Amino acid sequence: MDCKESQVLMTARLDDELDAAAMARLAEHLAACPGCTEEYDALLTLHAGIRAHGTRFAAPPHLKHRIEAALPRKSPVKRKFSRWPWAWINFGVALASSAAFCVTLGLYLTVPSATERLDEEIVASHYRSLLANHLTDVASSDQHTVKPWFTGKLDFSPPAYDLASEGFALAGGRLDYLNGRTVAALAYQHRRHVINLFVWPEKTADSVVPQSRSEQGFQLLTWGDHGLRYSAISDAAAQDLVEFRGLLEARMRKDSPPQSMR
Amino acid sequence: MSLRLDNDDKTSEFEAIVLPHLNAAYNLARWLTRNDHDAEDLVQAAFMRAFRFFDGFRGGDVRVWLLTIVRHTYYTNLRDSRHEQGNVAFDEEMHLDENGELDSSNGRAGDSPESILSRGDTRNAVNQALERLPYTYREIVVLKEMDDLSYKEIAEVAGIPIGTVMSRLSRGRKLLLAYLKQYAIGG
Repeated sequence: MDCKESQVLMTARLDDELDAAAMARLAEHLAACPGCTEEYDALLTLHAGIRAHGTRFAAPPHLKHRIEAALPRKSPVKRKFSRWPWAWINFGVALASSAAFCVTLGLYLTVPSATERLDEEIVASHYRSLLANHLTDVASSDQHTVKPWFTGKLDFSPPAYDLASEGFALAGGRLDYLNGRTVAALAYQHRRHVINLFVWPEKTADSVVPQSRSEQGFQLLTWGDHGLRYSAISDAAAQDLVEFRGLLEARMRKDSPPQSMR
Repeated sequence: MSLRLDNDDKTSEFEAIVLPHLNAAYNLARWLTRNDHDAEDLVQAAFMRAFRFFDGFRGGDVRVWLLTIVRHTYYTNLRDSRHEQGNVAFDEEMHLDENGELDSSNGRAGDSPESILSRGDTRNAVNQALERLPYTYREIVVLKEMDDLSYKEIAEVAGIPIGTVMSRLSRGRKLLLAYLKQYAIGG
């Protein structure tokens, strides 16, 4: 071993990184070389000197706080609230929201629509007319008595036809109040059943799809024609109302053209 | 390895595992930058980087991992912007020291490092010598003598082969001995 190799090994020897064989060879060289021995002693002293006297700088306390403050956190008040059972709180809030939504939805669905409200009014009106025995203001089976009676009382002229020959006898007419306005109510007798036919003008009447409904045991049939809304109600069978409407429209078609021709 | 669910968990885990090695990180940073202010900035930047890469930390020695990041941060962030002049100064010193070292090989017994290190101003002498040492050697000496890392660990931190660690240590120590000798003559 020469002094150059010895110098490299000396540093490794200081740091305990030499294997046994290399250590033995180095020891052999040092024993024979005073120059290398002197340098090894100097290195040993330096090694011990740095370990003993080299300054180990400690981080100032504020640096730790600075780093902690810079690390991301869910919220600045984390420490204060971190013990709260957030999972349960979140679950509870979600539950409450769902419940509130369900209640709102329920209320929304429970509120009757405009059609439903109207149907209820029609049923109530029909029922009242039977109960108070106030079916007609003008009791006549003569359409020429009934129709003019409405003139001056309404801003429209409701069709009043006696269909006695077809089984639907006109009993009379009266004024009624429906859907926020005064309407014409025509009473018909069909066998032992009373039919109330409510008529009022409505802009969207022509686009009303004929509809048959059952409300509180009564049958309802609504339709629209030439700007007028018709709503027939009776405790008769639904089929009777359909027949009634058919007869009425047939009579109106038969009647209208000659009238307009005149 | 536990699943890291969110930042809060990650932060507390990071604080428990990495933050205890703050002093080791600061010591290396302080020896690299040689002033308190830059050392603090360097450590802060290194910890932020460490936090970003904490998910990638797969066990092993946290201290070695952290020191690697401190050193890397120094070379990428701070050295370019702040220490350019310092490095030039060091190169000059290095040339001076080459001569100093050559002189020391023929030094007399009275000027030997042993005699310097046995005097009262040993602390000053050692620390000044370390400060003068070019950073290439300084970081290796600090990692060895102060952090007591093995050659393998130093190689990992500095990203160099073990053979280079050994030769830099050898060279660094020779320079230190030369500085101490100059200190003895000058003082």
